[in-house]
Amino acid sequence: MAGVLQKYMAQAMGKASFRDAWKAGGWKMLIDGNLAETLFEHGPGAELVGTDKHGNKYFEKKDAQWVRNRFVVFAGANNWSTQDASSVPPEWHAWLHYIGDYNPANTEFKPPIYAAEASCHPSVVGPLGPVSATKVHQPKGSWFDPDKLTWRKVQAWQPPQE
Amino acid sequence: MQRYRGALARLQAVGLQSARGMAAAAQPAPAEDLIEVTVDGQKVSVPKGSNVLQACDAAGKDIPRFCYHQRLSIAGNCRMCLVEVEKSPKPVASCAMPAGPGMVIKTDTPLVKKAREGVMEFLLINHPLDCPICDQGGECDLQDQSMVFGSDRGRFTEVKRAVADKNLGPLVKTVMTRCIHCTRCIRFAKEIAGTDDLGITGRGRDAEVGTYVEKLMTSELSGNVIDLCPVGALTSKPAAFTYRNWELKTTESVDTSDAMGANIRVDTRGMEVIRVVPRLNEDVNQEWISDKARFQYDALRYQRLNVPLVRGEKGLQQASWPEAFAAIARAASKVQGHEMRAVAGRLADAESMVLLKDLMNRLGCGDLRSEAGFADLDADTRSSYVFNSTIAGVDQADAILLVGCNPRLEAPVLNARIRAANLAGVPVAAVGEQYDLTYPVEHLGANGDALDKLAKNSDYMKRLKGAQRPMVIVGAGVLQRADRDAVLAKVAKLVEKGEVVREGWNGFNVLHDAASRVAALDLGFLPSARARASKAAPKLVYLLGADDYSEADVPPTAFVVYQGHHGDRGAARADVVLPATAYTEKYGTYVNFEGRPQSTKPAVASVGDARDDWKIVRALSEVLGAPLPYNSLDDARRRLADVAPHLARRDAVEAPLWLAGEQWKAAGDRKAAADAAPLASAIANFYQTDAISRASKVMAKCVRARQNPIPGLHAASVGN
Repeated sequence: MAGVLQKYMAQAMGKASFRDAWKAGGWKMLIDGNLAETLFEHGPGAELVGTDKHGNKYFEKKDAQWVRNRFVVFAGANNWSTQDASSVPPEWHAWLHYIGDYNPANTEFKPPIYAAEASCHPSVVGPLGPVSATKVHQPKGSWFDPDKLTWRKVQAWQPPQE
Repeated sequence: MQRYRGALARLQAVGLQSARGMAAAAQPAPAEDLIEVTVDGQKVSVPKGSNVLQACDAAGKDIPRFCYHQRLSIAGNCRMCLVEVEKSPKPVASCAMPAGPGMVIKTDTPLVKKAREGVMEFLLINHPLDCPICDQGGECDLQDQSMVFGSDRGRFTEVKRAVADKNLGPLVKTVMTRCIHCTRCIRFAKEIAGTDDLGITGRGRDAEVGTYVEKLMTSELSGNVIDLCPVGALTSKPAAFTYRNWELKTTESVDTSDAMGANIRVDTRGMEVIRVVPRLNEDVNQEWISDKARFQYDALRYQRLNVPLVRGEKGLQQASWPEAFAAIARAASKVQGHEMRAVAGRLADAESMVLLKDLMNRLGCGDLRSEAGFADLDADTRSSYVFNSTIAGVDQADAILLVGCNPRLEAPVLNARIRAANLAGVPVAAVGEQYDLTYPVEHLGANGDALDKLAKNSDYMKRLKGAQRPMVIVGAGVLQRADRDAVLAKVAKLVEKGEVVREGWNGFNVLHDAASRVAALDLGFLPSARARASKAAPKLVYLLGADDYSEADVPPTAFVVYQGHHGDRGAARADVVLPATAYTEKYGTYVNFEGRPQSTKPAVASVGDARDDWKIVRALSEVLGAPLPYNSLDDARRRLADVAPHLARRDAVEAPLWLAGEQWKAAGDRKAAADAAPLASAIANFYQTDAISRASKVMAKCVRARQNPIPGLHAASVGN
């Protein structure tokens, strides 16, 4: 039993041996139930989908039940006091919560710049201030949104080019 | 209450249903089969076997309901339809209580009101308060009825239960906490669709509607559960969060995704089609439509042809209408009339076909054909190519023989009707490839030889002869075969020997799979005798929305004009592309496989520079020097009525003459041996059959989902 658990833990943490896994902070599972659950329940068989700018790792376990098959291991996962759920960026939050299936690691997202934020930075100016190349986020449907002006409800067919 | 009243009005329009679930509106019952009951002091007569709820409906009393649906079996589990019946100690669930003679029913007493309020309070205990973000909001039965019977506060102080959402595939979105366990979806899947996908697990507070294991809903009719769901538990996944129902403008139209001509309502907002829902028509689709009809509308946004295109040095380039017409005129000036060909597509409307036929004939061209069609079919006798028994006739049939057709894919709603007949005890047999039709089918052989064997005094033949109203349904796949005449000769023998056509009943049916097909045959959109004899390759081919043409129909050297609304195979091959309108954007006559002319109506404006099909042909005729004298839609329709008078009687079926089998004798090579290949349906992929459904992203998702119907099941555990 113990051997199986050791092997399982090493596999869950992606280490060659139990000893390595233990040294890499695996022992903290004893006091951190979240970590234990993440690694033991979800860990083996999960595929690393990507890592965000904070170092949080995102996993997908394809054959697990839907709604339970995407999870995050936080950057500071080895120490409960450094885990920060709010460090998940919006695009990864969307992926994690099935708002979209786009993998943020290979999809380009335009982070919105809000007008309030833009007014603090002279280089980024909103539609009411000096014209700037940087786009300030506008609510959906706003005529200040350049996308609104170029938006088409119908996509025309592009003939194959010869 | 608006929608709820609408539902009631609809129900009354339907009339009381006979005991058979899917049966058409019951015939007026003879007086001895009626019983008299009193509803709120008013005497009404209802047929025997009706329930109390139907009696109340007949008296014009609104009975609130969730689980009761006139086409589904009675569950009696929502308890919302409680009424008071004299001499009964408790309120009774009216849907589950048979009406008895002399029954005195009261629907508006304080006891009834209190009982319903109690039921409503229980239902709302676990129903989330997410109406503001719920897609059903505004057309929700629970919302409407809680306005009447709901309390302004709850006495329940504990937490509401939470239920995990189920993944039913790319079409039906589930929010299972909203479910009130009316079991309509379960009964629909089991009884109408015939795919036993849904069920209830758990009891009481833990009861959940789901698929047991995570599994795709594998019915072609699955979208109908969205309409059936009285709350927002099952909603449209492609349209999720895109509309509120009061923003929508509705247009009553006709579906063209298959040849059934299902009646639909196209709901639009501004320029966009937001959703498509069925319209009640007892004679055609009852109140169901197929998933393709319901969900292919997203394709109206993609791959649209919005400007004329002319092939130049760099391929197809944008052009103006005069430039495009000039290019066609230049090409046409180099060819003789008999060197032209016109091919009508699956989605072509009758107006444009009749105008194109006139134009081509004026130019001296008689080579008119339908794509993936049967150019050499003899269509002089209408009864040889339509669904003579009519769709409603399926309800009366007592023996059904399918020859080389798969109604589940060719016309899913018809398949549901055949299934209902089968459930009521009508035996269904099939010759041809074996398909899973959701009901038991007696398989009598695969190819033409099996038909021969059947005709030779077989056991089945005796049964067919003994039946009162036998039906033989021949699939379009049979008509597309090279050995069609030989197979049809065998079918004719079968029809004759089995006395399938009798006094007052024509049981010979052809099930077409393309919306334009019957209209094309009615109008004689077929090659002339000279064109049939000619072996010369055409030099100019006019594709009227044809994308599934055979390579032989469009020679590589020909100058090709494509008129249509979606960029697909035809547009890619064309030298000139003329943008036309899709079925949601025009008035177009479509004749369904039983020969019922119905009209689509424009729900949204046309895209870009696109024009109505008949207008394009009319304008082109001017350029080609053979101007057509039709200047309005009415003119085009008058011409339609000249060529085929029955097309002037809209929404009605003109029963064709049966020439006692004489029409069979005129066909060509009847002695030829039939191919040994099994008689098969021409449709392999239900979700992608024409330019519209191929452009649809939702349909593409359905195809992908079907490849892996149990997503949670790991490939290794399947056993291969």
